[in-house]
Order: sequence, then structure tokens, then C-alpha cells
Amino acid sequence: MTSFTRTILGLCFILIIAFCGTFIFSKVTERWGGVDLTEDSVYTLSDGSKEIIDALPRQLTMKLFYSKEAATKIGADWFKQFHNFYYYVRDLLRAYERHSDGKLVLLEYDPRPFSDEALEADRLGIRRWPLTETEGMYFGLAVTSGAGAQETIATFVDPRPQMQAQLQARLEYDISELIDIASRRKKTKVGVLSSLNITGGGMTPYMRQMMQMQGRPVEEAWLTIEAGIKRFYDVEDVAKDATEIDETIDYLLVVHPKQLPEPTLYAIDQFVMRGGKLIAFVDPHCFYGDRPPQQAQQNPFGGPPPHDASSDLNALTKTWGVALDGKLFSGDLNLGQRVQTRTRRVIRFPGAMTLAGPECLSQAETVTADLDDIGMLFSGALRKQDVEGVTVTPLITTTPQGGTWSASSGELGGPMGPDLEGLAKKFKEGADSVWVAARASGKFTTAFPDGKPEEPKDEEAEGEDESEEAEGPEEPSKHLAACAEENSFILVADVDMLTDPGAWAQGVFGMSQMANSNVGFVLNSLDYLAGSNALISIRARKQFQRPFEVVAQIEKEADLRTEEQVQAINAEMQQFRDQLRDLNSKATEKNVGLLQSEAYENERKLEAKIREKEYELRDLQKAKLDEIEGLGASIKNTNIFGVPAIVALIGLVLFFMRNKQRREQVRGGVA
Amino acid sequence: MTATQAIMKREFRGYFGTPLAYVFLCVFLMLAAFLAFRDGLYESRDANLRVFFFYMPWLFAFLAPAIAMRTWAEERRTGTVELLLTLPVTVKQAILGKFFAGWAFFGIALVLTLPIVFSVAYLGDPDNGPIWTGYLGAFLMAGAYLAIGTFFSALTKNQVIAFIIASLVCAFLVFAGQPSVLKAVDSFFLTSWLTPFVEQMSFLTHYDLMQRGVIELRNIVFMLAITAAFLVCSAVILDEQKAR
Repeated sequence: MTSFTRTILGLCFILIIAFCGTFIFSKVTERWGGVDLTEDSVYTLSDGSKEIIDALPRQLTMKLFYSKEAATKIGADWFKQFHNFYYYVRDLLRAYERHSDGKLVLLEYDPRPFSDEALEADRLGIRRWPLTETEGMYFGLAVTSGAGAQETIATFVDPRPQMQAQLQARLEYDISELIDIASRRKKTKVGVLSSLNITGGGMTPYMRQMMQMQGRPVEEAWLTIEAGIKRFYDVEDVAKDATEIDETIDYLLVVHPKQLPEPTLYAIDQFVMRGGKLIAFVDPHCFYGDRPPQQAQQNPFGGPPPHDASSDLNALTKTWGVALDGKLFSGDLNLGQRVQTRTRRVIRFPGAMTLAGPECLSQAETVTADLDDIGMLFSGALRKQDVEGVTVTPLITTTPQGGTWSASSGELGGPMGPDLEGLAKKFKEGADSVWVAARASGKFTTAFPDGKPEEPKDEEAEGEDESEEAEGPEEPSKHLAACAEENSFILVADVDMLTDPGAWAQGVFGMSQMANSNVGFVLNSLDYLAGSNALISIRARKQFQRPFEVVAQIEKEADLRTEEQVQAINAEMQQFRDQLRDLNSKATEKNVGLLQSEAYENERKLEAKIREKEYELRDLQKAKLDEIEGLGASIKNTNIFGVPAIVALIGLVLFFMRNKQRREQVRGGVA
Repeated sequence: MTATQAIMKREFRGYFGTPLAYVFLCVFLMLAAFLAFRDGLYESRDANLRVFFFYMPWLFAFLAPAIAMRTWAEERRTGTVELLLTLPVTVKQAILGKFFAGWAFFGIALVLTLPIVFSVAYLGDPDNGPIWTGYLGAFLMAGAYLAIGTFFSALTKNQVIAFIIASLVCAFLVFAGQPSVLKAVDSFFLTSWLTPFVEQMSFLTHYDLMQRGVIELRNIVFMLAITAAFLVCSAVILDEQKAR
């Protein structure tokens, strides 16, 4: 063997050892995990997840499906992002497995077409994304338990980049939630008592479909219930005139209780006295959820009769330390959203608030500490009641500049909608923050000290009573005068925050997504009352998004600077449009000829004016955009050209200095 | 001062003795910033440097061989390699000296990209963890590419050939993790057991987590092992030439 051959063989040996060695080392240390240096430790299991894993009562199997081979076969480079995400999901699941000490077992599947793995994926409800005629991509997770529980994340893929980023941001929460739900033998039951049909009447999707096919109106459940609460809890309807709350109900969600009959109030009271958890949403005016009936709106004889869209639970909650302050509304100009009025003016309306930051969301309470923003509309004000042994803590408040105001039903719900401009004028800044959500804790006493109120009897009921008596008298439940142990309940002075327009936004492809933290607040409240802070803490985990604050500030300042101008232009445009409408309505069959030439001339002038104003508006918007783009251009230019130019300049200076030095040395040498 | 340090110092000065270093730095800084901003570093309005780090493996795949190509090829062409190896320095010291000089040069190149970090920090509140781990990953990767470049420079007298072959190898080690390459490997060898191995060879696979802010031992070991392997190979080649 020549020395050259020996060298070549030696080189090959070294390289093979290096690549194979690193490959084997990678495989061996794959499950070791790494050091997460991100600020919020986003790639490390949070304490909440660890808490859930530690509390697992039995072994669970996590089945991760990813079509790795299909990805290789397709060979499209756009696949890389899902490939990388798969590794991240797998590593995170391995971290769960490591921490579980054997309670969680991770199984990985690579489903090929027509294979047993593909069948298993289909059976578990993992979504298949078609790639070719035969190839499909599975990328989902199922958590199963020996007891038969089975929970699934159907897919980790979202074709929209923005949504994919969101999916990645809340991955840990989704997995922990899945494990948490799968580990329970039965879901906790939430009873929903409401004067509105917010659960869709407990209809199954099939029943709903049948009714739709028959052309019968179908009331949809609110998304907060359907896509929010139902994911974690079993939801059961409680009739609005129920005389007893079922023993199997763990939590009672009372939403917009309008003039509940005394026996129902008593049932709620006794539910709380026996230690049941209550969350109540009341409202001096529920705008989205409680609309007047259709017939009343179309009343041909004059205007619609006044519709009372208010609710409260003061008969009970006054005794327990906090109550709705009459029909007063809370407001805050600092938090007011920009809304368009009847006259198409855009104003900051104090009654439509976005409550955010430590000033509004209590940082001392786990329920609200890490929420981002709560949206409320025509919310009421809560007032603390002095009740011995009861502690009341505000959860959500306005800023100290917040205030209260009142409104008549005419101002709130005329045929043209609420008079927002008029209502905004009625608002007066206060000296202290107004409470809109609060938690009361203590050993509550009954609001019915005289015991169970007598039920109103009618003939039909009497007949039923007789038949019941014939079957044998029912054992009367024992009246409870006070809670045996300390209990808590949460009272919120807004119902609109739970409605679809109040909490959800329409995404691309018609998919709904949460518009704010309203649903998070409800889930946090339920979890808090359940004593489960684990999911709350994961839910509170910071998002990946870190916005450019400087750009946002520029936008905000530009909006504030031009707000009045934009309003004035919009108002002028509206004025011209109204004039144009008047002009067209004046033309009748008789005077159309006479008016034609004059009207045509005026119409042209008005249209020109509207166009002019549209240009002005566009210029204002363009100025804002120019400012933002200007900042971007200067940052880009500094980095792309500025820094290299400085380096080049330094190079040139050094080059000339060195040349000069050399020349001097040569000259010195010659001399 | 050890022999390695002396060689490193001489080489490092050598870079800045010619306009080459400045041209290289300008091209690198311009490309790095241009690619990052072209891909929406500003328009995304999100304070992170993911797009900036995304292009590092690709940039280094061509720029590192450009810096490394002259380390030994030039010495061999001009015949100074014999002179160098007759000096009281070992081949190992000479290789390490030259390598560390090149690596330090890349360190400076990376430091000069800090204005991009400052720009993002001015615009928002970026997470510093992924930024520093991204830089660490980029620095280690630059070392590995440089070692590959050094090896091919030692292999041939022709700088251009050294550059082209080293660039191809570096590019392969970047592309290896791409699904299109894995597909080609899969269909060529008619077996799927090789694909995880090829995928594992990719710098992208190892760099991905680092630019996200997570440091794993296996990723660091991979980059250092590749660096060491190619430097040892360079030493074998030079020893063989010395023996001749």
C-alpha cells in the first residue's frame, strides 16, 4: 500500500468516524433535552405542565403521528417548516415523558398509505392532508388512557402562516390541556342557567341539521360555550325556572338572569350554601345577546315597545358582599374603543372598553394576572356591600379616570341603534376606578333566612301535585342557612363579553378565533374556582410575538394627531352624501324634467367634493404610512449600506495610512 | 507567545494587510442585512432576528471557503509552505494558528452585524436569548465551514478549485436536511435507513434549535466534531506532503 493510498484511507476513516460518531451521539443524547435560554423559557415545560403531569392518576399514552416518509417522498422544500415543527413537538413530548417518571409513554407513528398506522390515525381522528393521490400527511397527537379516555389534537398544520405561528405559540398549553382532560375519569360538570338560549338548547349537531333541513329556525350555541367551555367541561342546561340545582353540577354559570322566579333564586342560593361554585354574568344592558323579539321590532303601530335588556342577581349577591349598582353603566375614555356613530363620525366611546394592563386587570389574582385584554360593551358597575366575614376583591376595573353614567332605554335601543354620541356626552370622569368584575370569598349566609319561599301554585301544578302525592310525598331537601366551609363566587357586570361578537372574530376561511382574552377569563375563573391553577399558569404563558413598539407608537400618535381631521372629513363626506340623497329624492315624475339639468349639475359638484375629501383622507392615511416606511427605509439603509460603508471607509483610511508610512520608511531608507 | 499564537497573529494581520478582508466584510454585511430585510425583518413588525439567522448557513457556505481557500493553497503555490514547515513549528500548530486567525476574522464579521440587533432592540423588545444562541451557532458553524475550507485548501495548489470544492461540500452539508435532498437520497439508494443519517449531517438540522434559543449538547458536539475532523484531515494531508 502506497503512502498516498494510506493517506486517502486515513482521511476517509476520520470523516466516517466523525459523521457516524456525531450521528450516534445525536441519537443517544436525543432525549437529554437542552438548555433553554429564551427569556420566558418558552421551550421548557412550565410549572403548570409539571403540576399536571405530577397529578396524573394513571398511565397515559401519547401517540404522535407524523408522515415523515411521505415528507421525504414528496421532497418539497416548503415541507421543511413542518419538519422542523415536528421535531419541536417531538422534543417537547419527550420532555413531558422524561418528567412523568413513567406515567406518560410516547409512541411515534409514521403512517404510510393503507398501513395499520394510517388506520389507527383515522380511527383516532387525526387529520389527513392529501399530498398526492395516495400520499397524505398526518401530523397530530392523540392521548389515550387504559380507562378508554381519548383526546386528540387532529392536526398541527395550518396553511396560514399567522395561524401556524399561533399554533406553535400555544403548543404546550394544548398538549397539557389534552393530558389533563384525558387523565380525568369524568369531566367536571358546568350547569348553565340563562334567560337567553346560549347553549343552543342542548341540541346535537344531527338534530340541528335535521331542523335546518326542515327549514325550522335553529339557535346556535354561543362560541364561548361551544368552543370554549365545552372543550374542558361537560355543559348541562339548567332551566331558567329550575327549583333545584342538580347535585351532579359542580359549577353554575349564570348568564343574564332576567327576573328569575324566587324558587330559582332559592335553588341558586342553596347551591352556593352547599359549597357549589357560582360565576354570574349580569348586565344593565345586554346589547348583542338580548335583542327585542322580531315581531316587536316590526310593530306597524308606532315604535317598538321598550325592551328591557337588563339583568341582575342582586337579590342574592347583595347578601354575599357585592352587587350590581342599579342600572348604572361603567365607562372610561382612556379605554374606550373607536366607534362610528349614527352620523358616521368616529368617536372614542367610553362604554365600549378594552380593559388591559395592570391598572385594569388585577395582577394579584391568578384569574386576571396574565390576561392581555378584556373587551366589554355597556358594562355595569359593581358595588361592594358590607357583609361581615366576606372579602371582596376586584378582578377587573376601569382606570381611576373611569366613571359611571345612566341611560334611558330610548337612548340605548332606538330604531337607529344606540345614540352613541349622546351617550358619550353623558359620561363624566370619576375620581376612582369602577369595578366591573369581582370575586367574593367567605362563609356566605343564605339570602332566604326564612327558608324556602312558597312556590306559586296554579291549577295545572295542583293537579300534578295530587298525582305526585298519590305516588308518595317527596322528601323536602334540608334548608341550609350558611356555607359550612368558605366558598367563593365571581360576579361580572357584563354579558356582551361572552357573546360571539364580543369575544370572537372571524378568521380566514370562516374559522372563528378568539378576539381578546374574554374566553380566557371565563376559563380561568372556572379553573380558579376548581382550585386548578396549573392550566391558568400555562394559559398565561407569554406569546412569541414581540411587536415593534416604536412603530405602534408612531401609528398611535399619527392616529391621535389626525383623529379630528379624519372625523371632520368623514362628517363632511357624510354631509355631501346626504345632500346627494336629498337631491335624488326630490326628483318626482312631475318635476324631473325641470330639476334634471340643475340636479345633474349639483350632483356632479357634490360627487367631485366627495372625491376631493376621499383624496384628503387618503393623504392623511398615506402620511402615516410614509412615516412608518420612512423609519423602515432609514433602518434598512443604515444596515445594508451604512455599516459596510463605514467598514470600507476604515479600510481606505488604514490603507492610505499604511501607504504613507511605507513611503516615509522608503524615503527614510533612501536618505 | 506560543507558535500557534504567533502564526495566528501573523495570519490575522495578513487578512487586513490587503483589501480582501474589507471587501469580504462589506459583501458579508451587505448580503446579511439585505437578505434579512428583503425577507421582512422590518415588515413583520416582530422583534426577533429569525430571518437574519436563517441565511447564515447559506452565506457562510460560500464566504467561509472564500476566506479559507488561500490559507494553504497560496502557501503551496508560492512555495512558502516548505519554508513554513521547516520553521520550528509543528503542522498542528501551523494549522491551528491559521484556523484560529480565520475564525477570529469571522468573529469580527459577526460582531459587525450587531447594528442589526441594535436596530431591532430600538424598534421593540427582542428576546436576547435566541439572539446570543443564534450568534453562538453561527460562530460554531463558521468554524466548521472554515475547517472544511482549510482541508480543501491543503489538498490543492489551486485556490479556485479549493474554493469550488469546499463550497460544494459546505452547500451539501446545508442542503442535506432539505426534503428534496432526502428524497433524492431515498430514491437513489432505494432504502430509507440512510435518510436519517443524511439529515443528521445537515447544519440546518443542528442550527435550527440554536437560533430559537435552545442549546443542546449534540448540536454543539456536531459542529465541533466536524471542525476537528476536517482540521485533523488537513494535518494528515500536510504531514504527508512534509514527508514527501
